[in-house]
Amino acid sequence: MVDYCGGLPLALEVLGSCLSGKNRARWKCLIDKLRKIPNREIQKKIRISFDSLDDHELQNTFLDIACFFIGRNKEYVAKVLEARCGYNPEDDLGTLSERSLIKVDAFGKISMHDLLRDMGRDIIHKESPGHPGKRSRIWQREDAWNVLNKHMVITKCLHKSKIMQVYLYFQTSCIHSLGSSIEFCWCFRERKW
Amino acid sequence: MDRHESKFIQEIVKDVLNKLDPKYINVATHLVCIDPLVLDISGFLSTATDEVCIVGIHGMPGIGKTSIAKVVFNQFCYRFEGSCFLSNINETSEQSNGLVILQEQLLHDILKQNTVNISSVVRGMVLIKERICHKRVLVVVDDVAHQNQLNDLMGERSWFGPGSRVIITTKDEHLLLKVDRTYRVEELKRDESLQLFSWHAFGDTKPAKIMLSFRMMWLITVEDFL
Repeated sequence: MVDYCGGLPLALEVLGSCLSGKNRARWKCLIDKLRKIPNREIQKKIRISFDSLDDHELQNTFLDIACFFIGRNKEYVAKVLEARCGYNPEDDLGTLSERSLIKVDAFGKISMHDLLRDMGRDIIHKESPGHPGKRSRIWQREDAWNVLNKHMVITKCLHKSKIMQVYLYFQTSCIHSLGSSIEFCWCFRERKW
Repeated sequence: MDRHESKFIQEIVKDVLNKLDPKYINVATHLVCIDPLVLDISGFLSTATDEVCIVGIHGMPGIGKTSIAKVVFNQFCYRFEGSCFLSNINETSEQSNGLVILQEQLLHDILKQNTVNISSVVRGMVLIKERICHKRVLVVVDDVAHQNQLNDLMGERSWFGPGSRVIITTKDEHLLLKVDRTYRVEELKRDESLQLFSWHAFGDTKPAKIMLSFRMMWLITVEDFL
């Protein structure tokens, strides 16, 4: 539980108080629930930072990082994001870092607080809770596989659904059955997101 | 005549009570690991200089910026001619006339008297500048999110008297370009997290309650054998 809070006093306070005076069984239930649904009180407070991002593009960049790029190198992320937004997103990354939404270490590795990541992913999840195919981003392998399987042909799927990006971290066998990843990249460029 | 006198006394009592109003702010009972940062900030603010010093505290939401500002404010508020803690600036300024309300609070808290109603933000700026510029004050502007909020409440250093101190807390480091020193609040370490969590979950800073009881049991068993 303490690890889940990631050293954030607000989260430690809220969750500590939630669990106070409850028996072991209820602790377990609450912890299980938290894994699926983030605590609303904490999310509300943390979301202020996301909502105060001035432009839509900044919000998109934050969501992309929350879903796909944690632990990646800044230069790599900038390159991929540039393909989507059409401009060099270095300044956007700088702004996100200034607002404590992401951290970039001395080696250029991007990280994000777990609770901020969960908040970002929850925003995407709420776009369409029951239908991963209607969400703007998919980062879990099972979801991606299910969606792509349903549509059979990748290009068709990308054109039909609202998906902007799919996290391509399949095993080699999956990539074979999906076609080549180059084709995927080509799809992105064609649509110029 | 008597009636006049009693009215007069009542006025004096009201005025004295207003002036004696405790300045300090309520802070959470259990704070973990803020001492080093508080010490650092206090040390810097204590520097004997007649310049106006501004410090900025930044970090992600819920990290404890406001708590730190409160502790520092409580330490210093009695050393100044006037002090004011403007909390939740971003939230308040979103209300209609929110910034005017904040300007009124600033003037009221420092001058300790009811000021004239401020008709507009621009008028408020003039009033703050004129009334406060000779006073040595301590002001905390908490949770600033936009530059205009800073401009309207503390446009320039010259608005405050010599030796004044200002603390700004914000999530956006970018707003702290003109301050003298910035402090970033970092996440708690694991053992500190455990302390804070235990305090809220068990009302105790010792997390290893179960461990302790185990140790007690072991002691009892050993004693039995002896």
